[in-house]
Amino acid sequence: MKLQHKSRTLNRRRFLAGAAALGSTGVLLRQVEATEGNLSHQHHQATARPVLSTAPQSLLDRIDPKPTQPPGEPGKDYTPVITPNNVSLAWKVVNGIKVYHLIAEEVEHQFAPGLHARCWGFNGRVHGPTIEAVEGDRVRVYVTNKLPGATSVHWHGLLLPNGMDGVAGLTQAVIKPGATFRYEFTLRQHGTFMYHSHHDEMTQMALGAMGLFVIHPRKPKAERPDRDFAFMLAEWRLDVGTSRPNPNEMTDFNIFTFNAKAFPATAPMAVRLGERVRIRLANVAAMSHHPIHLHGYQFRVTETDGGQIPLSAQQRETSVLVAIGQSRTIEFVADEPGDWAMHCHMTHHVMNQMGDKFPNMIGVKAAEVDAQVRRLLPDYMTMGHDGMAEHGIHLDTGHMKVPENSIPMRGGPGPFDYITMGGLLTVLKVREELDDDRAPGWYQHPKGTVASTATVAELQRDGIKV
Amino acid sequence: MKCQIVFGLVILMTGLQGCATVAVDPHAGFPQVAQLVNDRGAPELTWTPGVEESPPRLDAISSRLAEGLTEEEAVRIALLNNRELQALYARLGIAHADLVQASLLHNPVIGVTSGFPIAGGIVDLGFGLAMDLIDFLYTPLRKRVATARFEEAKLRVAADVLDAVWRTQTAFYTHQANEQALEMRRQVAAATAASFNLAQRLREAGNLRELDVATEQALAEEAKADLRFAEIATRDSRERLNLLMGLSGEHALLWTVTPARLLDPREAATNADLEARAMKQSLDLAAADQLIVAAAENVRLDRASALFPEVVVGGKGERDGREWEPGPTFILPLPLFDRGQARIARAQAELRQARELRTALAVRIAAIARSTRARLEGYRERALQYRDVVLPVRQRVLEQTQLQYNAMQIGPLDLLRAKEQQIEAGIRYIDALREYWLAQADHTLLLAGRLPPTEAAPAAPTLEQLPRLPFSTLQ
Repeated sequence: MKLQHKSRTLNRRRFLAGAAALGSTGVLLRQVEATEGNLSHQHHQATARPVLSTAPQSLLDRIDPKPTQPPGEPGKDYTPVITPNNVSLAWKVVNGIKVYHLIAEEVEHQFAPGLHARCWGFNGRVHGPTIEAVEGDRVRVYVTNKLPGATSVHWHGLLLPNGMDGVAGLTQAVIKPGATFRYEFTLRQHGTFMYHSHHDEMTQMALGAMGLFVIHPRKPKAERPDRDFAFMLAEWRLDVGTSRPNPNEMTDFNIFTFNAKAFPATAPMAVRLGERVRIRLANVAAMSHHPIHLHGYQFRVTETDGGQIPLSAQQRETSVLVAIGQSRTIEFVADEPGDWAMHCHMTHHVMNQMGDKFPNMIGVKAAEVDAQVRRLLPDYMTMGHDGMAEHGIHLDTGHMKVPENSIPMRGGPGPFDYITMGGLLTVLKVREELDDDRAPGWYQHPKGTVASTATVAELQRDGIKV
Repeated sequence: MKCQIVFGLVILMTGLQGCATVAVDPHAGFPQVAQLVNDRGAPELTWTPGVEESPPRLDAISSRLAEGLTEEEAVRIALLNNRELQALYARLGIAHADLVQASLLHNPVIGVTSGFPIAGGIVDLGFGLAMDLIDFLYTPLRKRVATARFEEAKLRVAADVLDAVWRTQTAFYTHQANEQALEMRRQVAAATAASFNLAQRLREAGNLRELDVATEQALAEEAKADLRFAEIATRDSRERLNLLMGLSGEHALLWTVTPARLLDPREAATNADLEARAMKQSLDLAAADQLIVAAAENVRLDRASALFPEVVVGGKGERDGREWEPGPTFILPLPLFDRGQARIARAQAELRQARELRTALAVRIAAIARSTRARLEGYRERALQYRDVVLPVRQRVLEQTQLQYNAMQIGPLDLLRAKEQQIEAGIRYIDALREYWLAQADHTLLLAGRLPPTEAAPAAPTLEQLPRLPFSTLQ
């Protein structure tokens, strides 16, 4: 698959560049592979680069801005992607070019009920809406800057002319507040990519200025998915009682999100039994790699941001590590009904606004101290001596007040009990019947298939003494 | 015959003396003193000279003592019951006795001589009556000096009464503040004890370092030591107030103080013309004026009596043999060496001194009035800053700390620390309030016509520093 992809690209490039003199495809391919195998080797890189890289494409962009292929159509050429809690960016076709308009601006964003913040996003959303296109499409993206500071947009992982790469200062001037820039290039690959500010990244990415860029294959070799979900993973520092993410934070993040939502605000993935499911995961967190674990299934990792993985190399996994700046795509057939958790396996990434300044209270016997302290502080009670699980319940029942605009340790109600997870948790809902307009409710388990208290008779039967 | 003239003169002078004599009065001056202090805002004074037992009115007061002592009540009791103050009134009697003394003529002198002739015969007899004639002329002058001294004494007693009121007020405010600070120190001790207790529990659970437990213990033990100190201060200030109110025995244990009055910004209006008012009302200045009068009269007296401090006239009868030889006598000192110039110079120097001291006193009053007003306004702003800004903010800090604790962002020790800081701010507020009320007492005293005898401002020049003026050169 990978080889096919590369040779195709090369063929096109050779054609586009009119570089017949460079030799046969086979020769080119060897050169490419030599280059890829010696990326650290400057000499090889320098000699190989003109052969296959930006020069021909840039030339094309200058000489012949007309698209070589008609714009891909949703439904016909691809199954549109679902970005839970977000949407795809609208576009129109002008002279065969797909035209998009991104507006970078400050956005009042809700991470979860009870927690909102002033963030920076695009088109009134955090993160920005998903840009969706098809391999071979020529896209023209206008970027209007309505932020208080200058910005730029980098197309993360995309193969494009250097001047369209969006690195402020290096490949373009900054987009000043009020200015609109035009980016235009032809999509030469497919897969899961991103766009994000590449100016004052520390600030602008910490505040959310980024989005997904999904490129569908023109002629997919693999089976088309029935459901194609896309998630962007991010992390934030939003201190309890504040309402703007702190871009100065370097290490201690306390909000972790799928598409900028923390559980219980993450929209579930609803799937019909037997459907082929694709889940795209892209990570632009500041400091955290996210090992995303899906319950109930083994999946195949089918794509990286470098392209499709050959079928023979697609490993079966239950967790996939999505490192910072990477994307991973997983696929499976949803053949087991139920409510299946999908979450990051770093335990504090499934906590909301957990405070690391709180002392370790486990095992502290403080009943007598409580009475002593209440004489001074009537609202006092010792917490955390048996863990943090109860805390969210205390908060949700409203008998313990916390600073406004905060959801510390809060999870959400589940069908059996309070779900003590937050952050990077979402649910895959696999059902036999599905009303596409509505997210299904909690899974109704067949009788006898739910773990519950063992009966005395059962214990006696199996000789278990408790 | 001449003898008759002398006797006639003596009788005449006695009669004149009778007209000029001031009668002895044990209460002399007290009504004026009572009026003086009453006009200056102090409660009614009572004085029962010679009555040793507690004034019966104390019984009525004792029933009110249990209800919570106010500053006004403390002052009333002090004025009624402080025996030192009662003793002070006796000074009026002393000054008045001096006045009576000054109005009395020196008694005539009678002399008898006798001679026994060795050869025998009739015993020689001599009889003489002499009287200082010029004394009659000097007495009104002496009386004028003594009157000025008596006026000065009344002013000084009134000033001392006002001082007693001020001392009671300041002792009251100090004790009131001490009691409230003590209560807050108890709370700080309770908060740090709770922190220490909690730290021990955390340690027992295996979750805290010994270092942290020791740190919490250090804070708790220091808070206890601070509490002991506050207890001592409170007991001291209570006994000082007992002393000023003249309370002992069960009465001394009976009372509790009311909490400090909240500051009312309206009542803080300081007197704009405090300087002028303090001068006008000043008892010290009035006393200094009386001293100048006395000194001036002294100069006149000394001038009048410079050459002839005494002129003695009299008569004598001598029997030499069997014959009586009556005849007048006249003694006049010859101003050859002492023509009184030293006495006059001394009296004039004393007058100059009195005048300079009066001017210095006026300068001091003006300066203290300005600084007192500045202190009062400053302490008022400080107390209001605490009451209206610092305490509400500290309360908000505590509330927000509680919320952050509820959110499990900070620990219980941090929460208790915020409580402790809130109480400490309360202690500073109590301190600011006390300073304000002390400045208020100074302000009131100044308006009543007396310099605050604070340590910061050196006491007004006491008129007693001046040497006692001679009432008569004869004595």
